[in-house]
Amino acid sequence: MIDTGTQARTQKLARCMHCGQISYLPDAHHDYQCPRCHEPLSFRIPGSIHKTWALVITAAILYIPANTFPVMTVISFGRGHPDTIFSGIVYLVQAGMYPIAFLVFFASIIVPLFKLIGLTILLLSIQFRWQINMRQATVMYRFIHFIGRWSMLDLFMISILVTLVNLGSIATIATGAGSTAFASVVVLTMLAAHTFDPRLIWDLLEDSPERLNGPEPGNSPERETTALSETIAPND
Amino acid sequence: MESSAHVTVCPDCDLVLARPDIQQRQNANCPRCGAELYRVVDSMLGKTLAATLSGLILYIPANTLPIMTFEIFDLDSTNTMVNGAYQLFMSGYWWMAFLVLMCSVVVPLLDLVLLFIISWRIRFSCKTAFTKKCLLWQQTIEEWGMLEVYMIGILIAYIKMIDMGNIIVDTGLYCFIGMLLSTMIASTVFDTETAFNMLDEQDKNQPGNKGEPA
Ligand SMILES: [Zn+2]
Ligand SMILES: [Zn+2]
Repeated sequence: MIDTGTQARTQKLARCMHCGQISYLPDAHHDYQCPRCHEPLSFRIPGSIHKTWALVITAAILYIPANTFPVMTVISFGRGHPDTIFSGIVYLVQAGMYPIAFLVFFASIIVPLFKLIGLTILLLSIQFRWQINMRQATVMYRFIHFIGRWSMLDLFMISILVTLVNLGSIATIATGAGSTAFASVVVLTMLAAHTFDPRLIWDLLEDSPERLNGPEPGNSPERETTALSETIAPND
Repeated sequence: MESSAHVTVCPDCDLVLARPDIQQRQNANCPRCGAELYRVVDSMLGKTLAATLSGLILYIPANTLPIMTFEIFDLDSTNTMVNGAYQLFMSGYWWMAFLVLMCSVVVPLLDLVLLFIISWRIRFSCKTAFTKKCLLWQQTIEEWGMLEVYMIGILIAYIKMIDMGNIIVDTGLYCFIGMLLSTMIASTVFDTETAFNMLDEQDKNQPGNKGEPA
């Protein structure tokens, strides 16, 4: 018998991240394999916090050259005009292309910044056990995970323009060093969102039982865990 | 108090939940954090097969035919999916070229091929071990296919260039849009956990079919 409405980990249950299989893991320090898909199985992503920190910090450092170096240079009639991400947006605004300016601003500046700040807040609130609204934090995480890919927009646009405007001496478009840094920021923040384990947000509940809606910790019966092995153990 | 067969765990917040009986075409969400617990799509395999097959047919023209042509004075240059990445590579931006090629050309193809193979193998009850491997691969690469982002990239490039000269939309773009729609339909219809559940059923009914990876 299993208690519903509690953290699965407190009942030694783990959901496989790959196939959704629910397994009973009696010993937290043992290396398990999912019985269904044979991938490594654990309660949480191993080293999630440290790996995410490493990726977020590297991405934050690269965010600076990504925004200060030119990403694209328009060369027409022999004169070069280098553009950073921001000056490219300013140019779009001056040309009156407001919807596109907004789209590029959102995808290239807001999204990476939001991802970096959002993940930092999540990591800090887990490490320092801040009182956060866990549902909002989870929704924010899902949004960060979903929105990350859209930062590739500027890079795709550059790759299209580079071939589209390839007219020798009249006009060519060349890539700039900033785009390499920017590409790395996109990849690193996507990997960071992937490595972060949102279940850690809800583990904050375990140490502050007053925030649980369910029964008091004293009432949660210890004997339930012994019966579990009979119900789930056949999965190895 | 529930037995293990009637229990599910939220992937995002680790909450233990009683597995509700859901009707066809209904999704279940976690009451605590709102995560999608699972979804039910009827005739998932048939729909995925149809969508991936049409996507694969359109893949070749979408990648080889010109997408747009830009004309100014007597000069013109065309853009295809692949030569954008090639141009970047030739000018020394190999990391960016690699990323663009991966996200817009390689991964979308792998995604379509894997989804097709998976649906085919489940539909015709092939050995489950290799199908499971394909499912895991598909899950890993899925996130890096970015056709819809590329589409908006084309749109922005088009609008940016419209004042500068004469810009012509080519056949490749229509094939690309078709391929994009097929891919989007396939990934909306297809659900990894449902596929694993189907494989479990097959393992139960035909124990000899388990097999080792081919
Ligand atoms: Zn698994
Ligand atoms: Zn949940």
